[in-house]
Amino acid sequence: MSIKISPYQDLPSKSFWKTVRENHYFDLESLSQPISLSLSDKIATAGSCFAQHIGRYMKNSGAEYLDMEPRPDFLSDQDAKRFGYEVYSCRYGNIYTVRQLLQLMEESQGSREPHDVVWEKEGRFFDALRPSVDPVGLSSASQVVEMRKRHLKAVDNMFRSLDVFVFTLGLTEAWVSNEDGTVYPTAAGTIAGRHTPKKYHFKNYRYNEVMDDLRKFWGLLKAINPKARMLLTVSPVPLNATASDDHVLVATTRSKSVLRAVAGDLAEDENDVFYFPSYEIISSHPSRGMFYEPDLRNVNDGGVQLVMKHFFSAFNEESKSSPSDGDIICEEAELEKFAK
Amino acid sequence: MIYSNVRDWVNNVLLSGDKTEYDCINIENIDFPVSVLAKNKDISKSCPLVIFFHGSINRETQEIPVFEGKFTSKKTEGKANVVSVADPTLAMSPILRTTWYAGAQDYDVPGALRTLIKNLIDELKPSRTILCGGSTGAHPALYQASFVPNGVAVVCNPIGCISQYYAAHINEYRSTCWPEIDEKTPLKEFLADMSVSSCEESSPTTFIILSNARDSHLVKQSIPITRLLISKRKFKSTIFITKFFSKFSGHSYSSLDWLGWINAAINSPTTEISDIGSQYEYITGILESNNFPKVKITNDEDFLMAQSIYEYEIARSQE
Repeated sequence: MSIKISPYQDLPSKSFWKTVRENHYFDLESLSQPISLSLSDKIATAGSCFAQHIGRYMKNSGAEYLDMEPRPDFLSDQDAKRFGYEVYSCRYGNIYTVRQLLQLMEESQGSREPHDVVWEKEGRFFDALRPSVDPVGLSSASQVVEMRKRHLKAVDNMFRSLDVFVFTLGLTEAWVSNEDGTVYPTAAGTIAGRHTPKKYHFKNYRYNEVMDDLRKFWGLLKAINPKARMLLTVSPVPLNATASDDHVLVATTRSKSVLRAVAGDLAEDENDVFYFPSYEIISSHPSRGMFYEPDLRNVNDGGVQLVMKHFFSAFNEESKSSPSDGDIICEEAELEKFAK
Repeated sequence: MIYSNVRDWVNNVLLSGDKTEYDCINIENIDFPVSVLAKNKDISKSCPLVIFFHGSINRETQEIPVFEGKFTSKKTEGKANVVSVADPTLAMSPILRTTWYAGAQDYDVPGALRTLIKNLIDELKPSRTILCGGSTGAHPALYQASFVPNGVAVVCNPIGCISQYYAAHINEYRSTCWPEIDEKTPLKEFLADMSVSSCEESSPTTFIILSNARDSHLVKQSIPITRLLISKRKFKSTIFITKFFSKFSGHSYSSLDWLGWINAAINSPTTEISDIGSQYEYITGILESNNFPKVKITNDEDFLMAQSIYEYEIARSQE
């Protein structure tokens, strides 16, 4: 019988940095823990911009992908996307922060009613909680409210019927209503509305706050759908702008670190919650930044393909290539116009 | 089907009307899988011969033999004979992912490949021979190009220096194919480590080395290969082009751009680099205008569309 002289001696090759150093980056294996997921599960996606890639690949891989707000027949592929269809499982646009996700769950269950949901711009009216789903807005505030009610029904149906909820955590920074604490996906004045310090304040969520929100969301989801499982990822897309005092590079690391820690800890604590390392695959230094577009922010299709290869291998399903898509919808990108 | 000589293969496959998926040609007791990707329109006339070599493969998702260059078929059909040769070395073990067409102990793939190419040239009498490969497939293209009369090598993101590749791949290859050679023996002692090392100063071959500006192997591969060629041949007939692509980063390359250079080499009046370059400019000028991005701008139609969506959604909710 051999005597164990070190706790490291029987560990698999993936436990040692040597495997990263000596293998081609594309040949790395076992990056993810096994995920309890199959293509027959009803899968719904939400989150920040990067989550759109996951949804696109899931659909094209024959997964039971939930589309609770199917597009009208008269829309072309391009127009459907511009109007927020087939981007996620419902037409909620990007959900950057966990607080936004929690709000959406509460609102869909009738336990929350935000005061300020309509923003105006040049005579057109936008849903402030999902401004990216309509590039031109509607002709009246009441139309926006009607559409939101319909949307919330679809969201409720989605939460109740899904088997797996794939959520990509994107940001810790948000703009919050002074009136009722509602968090918006983008600052007023970016797409529509008008920013005033009287109405909104900046908030950069800390670890405990993000964790509390995510736990609360998870509890609400399990309460209405006990079979639900959740797969968490962290978006590797850096912040386009920060409203904190930090440099945007430092603010990005802070934000992603908090989100990564929360996702990992919740996955460790809960049996039905999993973490998938898309963040590490794209942004770790052994990839030498090769998966980023020239703007050093958006992820190129090569990176997305590699992420999805690992994603599908984590549950033994083969990744099918998906048409490249340069039209990722991202309100946060709108902040670029304010850059000096 | 396995052919025992190139002549029979040329007559039965390349010059016949039918296309097979692939056949094997036995050269010096080594079976080379060969696939025809495109055929010249007029088989009686001399035309360029293009030969492709493939790079590393994923054994879990790809079955051997593998054939590079299928993306050229439509654009070269009728203009050239285009064939793709798979690496027989990979058949030695299911664990092998890349073997640079470098063979093994008592299995001289580079020597037999040289004979195969020579026999193809003898039979077809091409106007020029263009050897193509990407990544590790560039190694045989660069290596064999030195022995080809009126030859052009068009390679992209070359991994043409074996010892400068990843240790795990090299060890996998060495231990499987060269088990009797001490692991401390340098590769160059028993195989062509640097693909262009045998290229002579007087070699008339034209080398076109394409590299993605963001290829992580640029410094250890494309640049030393180019430097060696230029120092040996005093800047004659060698060009190194590093290009930036927004859609391709890392060790990937635009097949459209690669195809542009291959077509330029096919259509150029000579194999001189200046003629091929001019032809490339002409071809890509056309390609660029055809690929101008279409931008959708918000307009009045969008207001109508937003209203139609509203009416549609409300009607649906009342069903």
